[in-house]
Amino acid sequence: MIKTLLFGLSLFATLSIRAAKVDSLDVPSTVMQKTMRAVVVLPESYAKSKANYPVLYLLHGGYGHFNDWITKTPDKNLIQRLADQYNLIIAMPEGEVFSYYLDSPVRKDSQFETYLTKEVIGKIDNTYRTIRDRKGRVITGLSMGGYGSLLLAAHHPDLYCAAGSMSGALNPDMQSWKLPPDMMNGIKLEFEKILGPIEQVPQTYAAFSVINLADKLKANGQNLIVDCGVDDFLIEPNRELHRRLVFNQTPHDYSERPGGHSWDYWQNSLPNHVLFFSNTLKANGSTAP
Amino acid sequence: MYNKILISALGCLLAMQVRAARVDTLDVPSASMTRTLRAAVVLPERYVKAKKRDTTPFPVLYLLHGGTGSFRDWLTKLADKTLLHRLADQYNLIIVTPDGDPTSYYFDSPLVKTSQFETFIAKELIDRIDNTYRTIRDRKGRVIAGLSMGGHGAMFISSRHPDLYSAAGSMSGVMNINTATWKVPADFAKSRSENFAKLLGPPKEGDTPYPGYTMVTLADQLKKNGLPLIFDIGVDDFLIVGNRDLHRQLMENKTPHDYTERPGAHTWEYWENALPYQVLFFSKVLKANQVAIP
Repeated sequence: MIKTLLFGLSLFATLSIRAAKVDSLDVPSTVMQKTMRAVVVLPESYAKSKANYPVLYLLHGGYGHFNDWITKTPDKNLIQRLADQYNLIIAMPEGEVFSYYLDSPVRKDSQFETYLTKEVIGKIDNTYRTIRDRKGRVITGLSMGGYGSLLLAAHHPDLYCAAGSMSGALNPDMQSWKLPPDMMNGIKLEFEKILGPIEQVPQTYAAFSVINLADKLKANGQNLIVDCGVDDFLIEPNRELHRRLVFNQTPHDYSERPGGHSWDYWQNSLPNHVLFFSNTLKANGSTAP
Repeated sequence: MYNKILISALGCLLAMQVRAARVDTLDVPSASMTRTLRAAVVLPERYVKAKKRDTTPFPVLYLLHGGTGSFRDWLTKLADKTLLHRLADQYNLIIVTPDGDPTSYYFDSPLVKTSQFETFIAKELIDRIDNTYRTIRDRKGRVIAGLSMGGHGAMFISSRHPDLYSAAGSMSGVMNINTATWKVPADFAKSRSENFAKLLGPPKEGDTPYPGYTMVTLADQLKKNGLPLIFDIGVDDFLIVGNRDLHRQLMENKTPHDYTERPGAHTWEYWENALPYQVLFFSKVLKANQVAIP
């Protein structure tokens, strides 16, 4: 009896806490001639305010989709709570199952750098009251999305003031990834579809490796946060990026935590990223009252 | 100009409103040292404003100061003077900042009777706090962290009393008290080595002068205890070698822990940045322990 009452009360508490609003919208792509979906979480304060809000772009991983973060995180209210807690719009765009968020030199229907940096930002800025400036825009993601956010930030310092990566798949050449050979071969074939065969275009793979962008990241001077689980198959490339950023003296936060390539890990990691971004946005004066 | 003054006045007003937490300064008698020390206690607004019959017990974060510091440090030396207040309010947490003397290293010194800080922090202080405030009188509701000497203190004391604390954290901690691993001028290293000799006796030959008294010799104990651990260090900090060493050892013996390297050095700017991540970490532990107040 008491248990039922308590359960009812906790349910009520959950419902009343989840005040953020979840939108989903179509984001057309001219460059790819197709329309994809995005989820946008608006903090509770947004509706009653006239202020412009900072936006966190939150990218999904490989073999995933735009709604992963709100459906696969074990805590189904995490994104909403973070939006409320930090007064932040959180936009989760589509990156398809294996786009790596780059403009593919070989596939016209996989132009996700252009999509994310022009078409998605354009749509979000024209739909919501956003801070239309790099000072109010931050980007992070998991795995393929961690790679994507660092790649896009490295290529577009004019658009994002800070970037993060959780368990990032930082190097398409897959050097030092700890996976069984059959999985490695499967992923290698996917990379071939967007970059061409590595044996024929090694320079393309090198150019698209975030590890090789350490000097660009230094030159950009954005705030960076990178983490990886110690049991993750991607730990070595993340350590390599950290080593290079320490060596070339690029300020960045780097964490290693318990766990592998899992939603438990990302649920644990994300609040650290949002705390990090909130500090950047505060320093930029880009906070909604 | 006028605008600036107005804005700063408004900012002050806002800060005062936000700063709803209350700060007590408490005398904490130490029987072991036959003297009385002090601690500051930050009580969250929720605690202060609770109705009389509301007996909800609160979790406690023990937050230790560094070398040559005092119990006031965390409340006076941060640029953001209300950070502790805000964190206490945000997470509904009591934050206790006790005195650890300037160079006690939170040891029970076998040689100096007036320096018994493991006993002070782990027994006398906890008793005093638990008997003064509505606290969760159990390891589940107790976490401990600190900076520099205090990072060592938090990790060291909790490693010896896993029955008292459920998580520990270190910011820029002295994870190795062998001063040869510190990147500091020789005279500073010498003065600290002399301090360790005074507290602990003459050093053993070799790389580990005081086995059992420093974290880089306690990795297996940490594994055995299984406490959630978080430690971080600035990449320009003179103590980075000891922190990397401990991280490596805990990787090797597979002890779960959060380890972070950030920009910065051994400064209050660094600790102001680091503390909120530590409290975020502890809030998850307390939630998992089912003692967090929502």
